[in-house]
Parts: sequence; C-alpha cells; structure tokens
Amino acid sequence: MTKTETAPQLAGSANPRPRRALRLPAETGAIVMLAVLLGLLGGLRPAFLDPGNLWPLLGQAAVPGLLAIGMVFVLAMREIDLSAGAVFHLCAVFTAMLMAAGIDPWPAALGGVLLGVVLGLLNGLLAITLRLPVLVVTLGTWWMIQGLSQVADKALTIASPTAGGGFFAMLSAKAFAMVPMAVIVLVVLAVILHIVLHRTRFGYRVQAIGSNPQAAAYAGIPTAQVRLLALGLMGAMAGLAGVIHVGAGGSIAPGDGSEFGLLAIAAALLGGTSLKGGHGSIVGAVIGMLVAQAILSAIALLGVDAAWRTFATGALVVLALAADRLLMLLRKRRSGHGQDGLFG
Amino acid sequence: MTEPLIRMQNIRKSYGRVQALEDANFHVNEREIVGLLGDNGAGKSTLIKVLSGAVPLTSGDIFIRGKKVTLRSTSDAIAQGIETIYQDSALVTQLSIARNLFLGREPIKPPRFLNRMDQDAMNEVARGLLKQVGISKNIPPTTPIGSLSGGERQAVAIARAMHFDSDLIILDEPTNNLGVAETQGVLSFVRSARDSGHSCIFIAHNIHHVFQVVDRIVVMRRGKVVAGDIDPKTTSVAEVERIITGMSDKEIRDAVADGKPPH
Repeated sequence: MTKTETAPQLAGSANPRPRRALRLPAETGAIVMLAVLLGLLGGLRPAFLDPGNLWPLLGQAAVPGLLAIGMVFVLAMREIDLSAGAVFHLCAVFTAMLMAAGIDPWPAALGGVLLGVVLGLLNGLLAITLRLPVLVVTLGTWWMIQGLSQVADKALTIASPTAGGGFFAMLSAKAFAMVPMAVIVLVVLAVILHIVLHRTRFGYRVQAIGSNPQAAAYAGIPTAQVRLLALGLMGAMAGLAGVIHVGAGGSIAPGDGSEFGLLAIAAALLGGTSLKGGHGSIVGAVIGMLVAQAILSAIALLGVDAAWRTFATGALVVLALAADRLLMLLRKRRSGHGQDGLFG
Repeated sequence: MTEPLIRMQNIRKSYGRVQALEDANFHVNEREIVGLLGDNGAGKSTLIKVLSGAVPLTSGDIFIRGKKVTLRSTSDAIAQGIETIYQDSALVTQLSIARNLFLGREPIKPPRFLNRMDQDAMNEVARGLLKQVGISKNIPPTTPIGSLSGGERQAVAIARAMHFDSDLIILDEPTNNLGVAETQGVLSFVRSARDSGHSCIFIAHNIHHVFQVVDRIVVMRRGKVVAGDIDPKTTSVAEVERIITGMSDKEIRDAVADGKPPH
C-alpha cells in the first residue's frame, strides 16, 4: 500500500480567531516586584542595597532556590509537592548524621542527595499506584518525613565533627571574596534545568502532561514514568539543598528550612509558573525566590518582630496564588473566554 | 477472502457488574471509512478505547491483517499503526503546532543521551504539513495550538496521524462545535486520508456528517454491534436513526435489505 502526503485545503475558519496580542514574558511580574521591593527598601534603608548586604541575601535565597527550581517541574506537570521542605530537612539531618558517624563528607553528601531522590520517587510511586494527586499524597508524606527527622535528631542540632574539612571549606567558600558557593551552585543548576525544561524531550513531556494529561497519554507519552522522574528530580534538588545547608553551615538545627517547601511553591508561582500546569519558568522561580527573601529580609531590616516571618511566608503563598489566578483571568479575558469571575 | 485491516472478535468489557461490551464483533477494511454510530452508552467509546489501547479488554481477540495482537497501552496501539484523535484530547493547547505534531514521538538530536529535541527538524516538517492542510498563511510552526480554530486543530491532528503513516485513524467527534465551512474542510480531509491509503473510523453524533463521508456504517446498541454492514448509499438517515434507537433484529435486517435510497 502506498500512502501519499496529499491533503485538501482546509476551508476557512468559521470561528473568530483570538487576537494575537503582545505577550510579556512569564517572569515580568516577578522582575517588576523585585525592582519595586529593592527600590522601596533601598529608599527606606539605603544600607539594604550595599553589596555587603545583598550577597548574603542571595546566599539565603540560594538554598530554598534549589527547591524552587525543582518545584517548577512539579507545578508545570499540574502537581504540587508539599513535602519538599521536609525532604530538605531529613536529607540534611541524614547527611550530618552520616558525617557524625565518621563517614567521609563526600560519600555522606552523596547519600543525602540519594535519600532525596528516593523520597521523591516514593512520592511519585504512591501518587501513581494510589491514583491520587501529588498534593494529597505529599500532605501525608510531608508529616511522615518531618516525623522521621524529629525521631532522628531528637529535637537537637546535629553538627558534623568533620567541620573544617575540604567539603566544608568548598561549600562555605566565597567566590571573588563575595559570592557564596550556594549561589554559584544555584546559578549553574538553574541554567541546566532551564535547558532540560525547554530543550529536552523530558522537559517537553512534563509540560505536555501539565497542559493536557489525557492528550499526553493518548499520544503514547509514558505519563507515569515522566511523573516519577519529575518527582525524583524534585527530591534530588531538596536533598542537594540539604547537603549544601550542612556543608555551608556545618550543622542542621530542628527548625531549619521549615518554611522552604512553601517558599519554593510561592517563588515558582511568583516567577510565572502556573498552577494550571503546562508551562514553567526556572529563571522566574529564581527571581521569585529573590522577591521572597527580600520580603523576609525586610522584616528584619525594618525591625519587625521575627515571629512575623511565619505569617509573611503564608502571606507570600496567598499573594502568589492570587497573582496566578489574576493572570489566568486576564489571559482568558484577552482570548475572549473570560466569562468567569474570581469566584467562578 | 482478504483479511480486514482490523478485526475485533467477541470483545467483552466489563466495569465491575456493568457490561459495557458484550461479544462485540467489528472490522475495518483497508482504505475504508467506517461510521460508528450509537446512542449514548451504546458502547462506541468503550470499543474505541479498547482498540486504542486506552482500556484493557475483559475477553476477546483483536487481529491486525489477520495477526492477533495485544494492545496493553496507547503506545502499543500507536506502534501497531492505530492513531486515535479524541475531540478534546488530541492536542496540547499550550504547546506549539510543531511540538503537537510530534507529541510522544519527538525527534532527538545526537548525542542521544542528552535527550535534546531536534526543534529545527520538527519546525521544518511542521511547515510542510501546515502548507498541505491549508493553514500556513503567516502562521509559524511555533504558534501555540490554542490560537488555531477548531477545524484547524482537527486538521493538524489528522495531519499528524497521516505523517506518521498510521494505518487506522480513529476520529472521535471530529466535527463537534465546528462551523459549516470548517466541517466540510474536515470531512474532505478525512476523504483524502482514505484516498492516500489510510482507513478511518468516524464517530459523530451528527448522522448527516457521517453519511457524507463514510463507506459503511456500523451501529452499536447496549454493548453489541446490532448492524455491521449498512451501506450509506442505499439506506436512509431515518432508517439508521431507527436502528440506533432500537428496532428488532428482523426490522433491522429488513431495513438494510430493503436498500431504500437516503432521504
């Protein structure tokens, strides 16, 4: 049988074609927010814009930033991983404990990252076998993993006895006497993951599943495998963040990183990744994390009680959700489908 | 006698106590457009899902050109040359035309382990296909599918199946929500798919659209194929409607055998 590639001309469209308006990059909102924040804080406290203040701020953003760039893949798949912060903490505790048990820091660090991968894959396996959204599964695993951390560290700070070794010297070092190593790791991984998301088959399939899971499955994409890989990647990023935290600080305290999971979600959403899935921005997530850290730093800078940090973290998530919803409505309205309101 | 392209034999599918398909027998010949009709709940969707590998069958056999096959997943069905275009789930609206054309079959640049997509190759093929389907006017292949009209989207989905040389293209409600001109465009596109060597299964609620394009009509009712060889040239729309809504087997045989011209 011979098949030719001939086809008739399709008759003219009967539907009105949506207006093709100039579309701003997804990161625009986060860039504007960051510029406004820096302007405001610089105006109120000029010392805020000193390089001596900005570089540590970047350093603080780097570790949760790693979780945020991993979260972009999960959100682009139309899922949410609530356990990322707990995975970060358990991996840091595990790494510090391995080091405390006399294991060389490098294999211990590898163990920490691998634990993150395993926990991420476990989330994925549960979601696939139970046919539940990752959000629901990680609501349970978040507390399970957090519980394991509490059992392991017995509510005590775990410090590595090998502090001062090559591993610690490298991770606590500053490039050009200013740039924290965690920032360099974040930048390198952000570039790699940006390419992975937008140039590789895996990243493309993640976005296809997030945009239309049924179409992706009907097109023969192994959706379970892609979901598993994306959650494994999220776990790896959380594990790596835990390892870097231990490497840079030499210890992990019980409350460390408790808000990282929520910050990662807020940063990714602020950076233009939508809850609706189908699209993600790694660059946006990094900028979103800078916005989040600038707000949290402002609390300290303006002399507000540190207890307000938790409130601010929650408020950031609400702000990010509101911004995402607003953007969705604006796009719908622009494309001529905007009949529903904020409550619709 | 030559073997049909697809033969489904004694297909049974149950969801718990609900029997969705009961010994359904169905076939599609080479270069044939078959219209699959039936009321809601008749079993059309289940039959198609079984054939496209989306749901496993409870019992029965599927043959492709006489060879028994097992379709465990949509990937299995695609590998066997069966492409299904679902009304709302054929394409990913947020992705570009080029990316949609290669959905699930993305070309990879060497070295393969880097998993990088060959975007240039995808755009090149997409440009050619857009020209063929008549929607090339100023639309680059990087345009999101969401900005195309319903008819253009169907055309892209069918072009995808044709490009990958699928033997059987299953079209689930391809003319739903389309205007008159766009419907005619899609119907002529289906005919051209047959003319270029592909077979099609055409499912539509609008019986008049089915009559315009198919070579043979199959009617399902309560999980069974109740009429498998209706000639649209010699059977009227009203008779097919009566078969869909429920007539006795004798009445169906009489109606088909009478060979009354379509109204």
